[in-house]
Amino acid sequence: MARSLQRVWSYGRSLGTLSRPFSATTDALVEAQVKPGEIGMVSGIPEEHLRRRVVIYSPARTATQQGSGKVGRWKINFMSTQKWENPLMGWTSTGDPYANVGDAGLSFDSEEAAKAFAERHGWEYVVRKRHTPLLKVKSYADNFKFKGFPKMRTIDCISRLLCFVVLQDKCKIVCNFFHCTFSACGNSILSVKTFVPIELFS
Amino acid sequence: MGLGLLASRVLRFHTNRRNLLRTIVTKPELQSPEASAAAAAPDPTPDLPPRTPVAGARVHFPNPDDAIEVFVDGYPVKIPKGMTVLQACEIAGVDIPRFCYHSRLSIAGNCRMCLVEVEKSPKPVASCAMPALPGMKIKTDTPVAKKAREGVMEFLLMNHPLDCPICDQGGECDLQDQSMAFGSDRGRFTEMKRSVVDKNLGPLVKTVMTRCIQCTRCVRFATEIAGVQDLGMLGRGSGEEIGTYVEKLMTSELSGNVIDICPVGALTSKPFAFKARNWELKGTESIDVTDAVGSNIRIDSRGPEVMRILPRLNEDINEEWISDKTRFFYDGLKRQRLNDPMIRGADGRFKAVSWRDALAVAAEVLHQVKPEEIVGVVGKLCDAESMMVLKDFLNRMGSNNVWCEGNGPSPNADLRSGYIMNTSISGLEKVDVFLLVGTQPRIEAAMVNARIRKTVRATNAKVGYIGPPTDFNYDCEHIGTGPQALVEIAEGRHPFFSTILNAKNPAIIVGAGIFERMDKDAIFSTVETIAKKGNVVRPDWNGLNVLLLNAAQAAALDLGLVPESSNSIESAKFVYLMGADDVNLDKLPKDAFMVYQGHHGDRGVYHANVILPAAAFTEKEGTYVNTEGCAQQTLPAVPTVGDARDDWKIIRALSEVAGVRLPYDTIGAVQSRIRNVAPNLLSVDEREPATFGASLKPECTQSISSTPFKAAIENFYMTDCITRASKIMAQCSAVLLKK
Repeated sequence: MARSLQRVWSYGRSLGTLSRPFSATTDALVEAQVKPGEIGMVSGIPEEHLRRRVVIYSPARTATQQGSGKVGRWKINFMSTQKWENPLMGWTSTGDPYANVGDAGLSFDSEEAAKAFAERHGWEYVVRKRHTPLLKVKSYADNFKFKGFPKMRTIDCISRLLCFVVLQDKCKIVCNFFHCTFSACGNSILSVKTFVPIELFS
Repeated sequence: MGLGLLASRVLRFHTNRRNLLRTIVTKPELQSPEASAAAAAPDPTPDLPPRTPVAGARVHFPNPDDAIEVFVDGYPVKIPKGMTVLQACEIAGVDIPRFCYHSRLSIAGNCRMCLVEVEKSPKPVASCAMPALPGMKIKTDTPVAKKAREGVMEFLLMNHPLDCPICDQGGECDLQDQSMAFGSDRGRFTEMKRSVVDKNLGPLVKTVMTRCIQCTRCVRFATEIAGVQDLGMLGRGSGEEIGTYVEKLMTSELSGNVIDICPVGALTSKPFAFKARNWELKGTESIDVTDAVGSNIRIDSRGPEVMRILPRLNEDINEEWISDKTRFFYDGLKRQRLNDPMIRGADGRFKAVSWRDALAVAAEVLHQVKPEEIVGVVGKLCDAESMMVLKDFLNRMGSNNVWCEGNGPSPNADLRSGYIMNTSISGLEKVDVFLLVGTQPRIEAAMVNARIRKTVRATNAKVGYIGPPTDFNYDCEHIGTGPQALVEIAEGRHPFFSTILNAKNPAIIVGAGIFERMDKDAIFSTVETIAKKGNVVRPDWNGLNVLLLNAAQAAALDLGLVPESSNSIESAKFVYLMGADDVNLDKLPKDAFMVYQGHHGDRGVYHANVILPAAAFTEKEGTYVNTEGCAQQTLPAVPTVGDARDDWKIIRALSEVAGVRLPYDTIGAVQSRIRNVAPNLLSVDEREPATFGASLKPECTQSISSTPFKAAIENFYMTDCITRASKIMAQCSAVLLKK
């Protein structure tokens, strides 16, 4: 797919070089510098919204989800809070034509594209730094790595003693006063989890 | 004409057009079919653009020489040795579906959703647990991998209830998404689905355990990050369930994070249950102000109401977690709010008035008192802009008695290293010996405590603690309760001194509760002695830290909000409280006139004569500096309540009524004024380290008292006016702090 796209692209480019006299005029139309704020002026947007302060940011990944499909886009936040609850129906009313634009309507592939858009509309913008995750080496084997003897509280010590007895004597022990299950990590016991009546250890 | 026919025509048209283009170039496949097969199959697609890692991730190479190369879908990537196949795919920009794997927890490898095909391996490989080997050829998009995922999905959905329409996770559920993307359109399971009894985990986390898919993320989070051994897995096979072994609440200050990491709707937010659907919510990326950490949050609002708060990634500050206070205090924003300007009448009752009248009364009294009798106190939640404007205003009125509550009677604002966390929060991961002096990080800054715990867990770092007995979720040596223990260490009499001396990167963390002590300077000079003798501050390492309590503290000291005299409150006639609720006003003369500007009717309002309603941090743009000296900005998410205004605008208006008009009309102008005073406040999201060390400090002549250190915060869940107004926080303190 990508290769065929590239082919189309190179083909189009070669066409462009061939038909230079025609494309020159169209290029001129496109390249005519749009002065900051000009797009806003011709787009019919009310005067007072032509000079706004906006924040350009890249939304973080939703903490509740792992997918990254929507991460990396750039959005414009219009800092629009002119909202109120409509007294008749309880719906949200707004006095700002941009109230729902930034969230749903505008999405850019890059920071530069968002900046250019804001400039063309004459908005004063601030760009927020995008925070990215840091990948560190992780391995499954870390679960079983010896991390030194854990310091234990009294109750753990008793159970550990009990465990040593069990391991060393290799005999059935019926312990009437203190039965525990262990959560073991490597060769050391992390903690006592519950106290359940276990009749024997083998 | 049928739709299929139509579609085929469209397709045919496309192929035709491609052929049209293709005629220009001669291709070898047109001449011989063998050559075309050879060209199509092994070509490593050199014309592909370089791929970027998933979510723009940065890769940490512990040793640059130890890099290996693997191929993900034919694309070569360089990864550090020891990374897993799943991480290699992430670096290659391929997102592998997963349930049990979470990048900040240990690897469990039990959900099997991340199966991929590896060349020369007989079976699909669980990519999250398999280390990547040099030259490994990983294929993530082959029929084998797809079939494996579909099979796993079918097994997972066997026992998962079909209640997405009534599930709070619906719409932001990993299981929902991944079954749409990788699952089959039908299952073969015809028996009864199993059901599991719900567990009571307390007032914050709602459980619907039938939905659980046993990924064990919550168990790993509780044991590894939160440090409580509360959750675990019971039973085997289809009787397997997550639980607390015995009926017990989850008592952790980070318990809300299990809601986020749960990939299904088994653990959801109890206060948010059935309140809103997540696609109705508008997210605003902002900053938390309930403690001095400045966790990055997203404020989800619907219309004029904050519906919930979620964490946002910031590796340097809160990683991906937030504390329960941050996550659940939002209902306090709707209660006890100050709507209108008010004046206290002769009968002692407040009467709502217009802004004009309220400001006129305040300005009139302001002119009747002497300049040195004017005092301004800034509250815990104030932003830098409003603090700057208040200081400028009171300075123009002739007074210089402005300070921030919590900074003590004589704060030291001269040396920035004396009040910020010089190691930085992420720098705490390099520390091997901690000495906590009069601070209980678990209560004062839960996210900093999570970092310390992470370090202790990863490297067995030693922790020594001086202060009142308190809970720690890591091993900790309790050295003493008062400054005497500190003196012992400083004089080298205590064995912990040699521990500090032998440490590679020692860190001392002093709690900001000490600011309120009379012998604060002596304690700090003792700590500096330890730092000097123990080699804690070196050119390449600064281990001398102060852990602040409130969001406003660091910015207030950066802006130089220091009172001219430490007992100005005793002679005050006019007190301007800007959101200050915890300032001690016992010594205030009875006839003093008090203006309270703030957003909640809390302690500060009791004595106020005039109330000026202001905006809460969710409703305004404001700069905050966190305890490590990183400036961050909040953004408005919801409209202000009633007739409230931004803090800086109120003071700006008052200055005009009082006849000393301040020269700024926009927040940009206020910020350029801040640029003259403290330019570091404007470099947002950048940590500005302190320039000068503590060695420049003059000799201290104070003597240390033997009073033991006190706990700076009594109740973790209620620290400021918003959290005190919150019903959820009240429930938490009633249930979870019960002794």
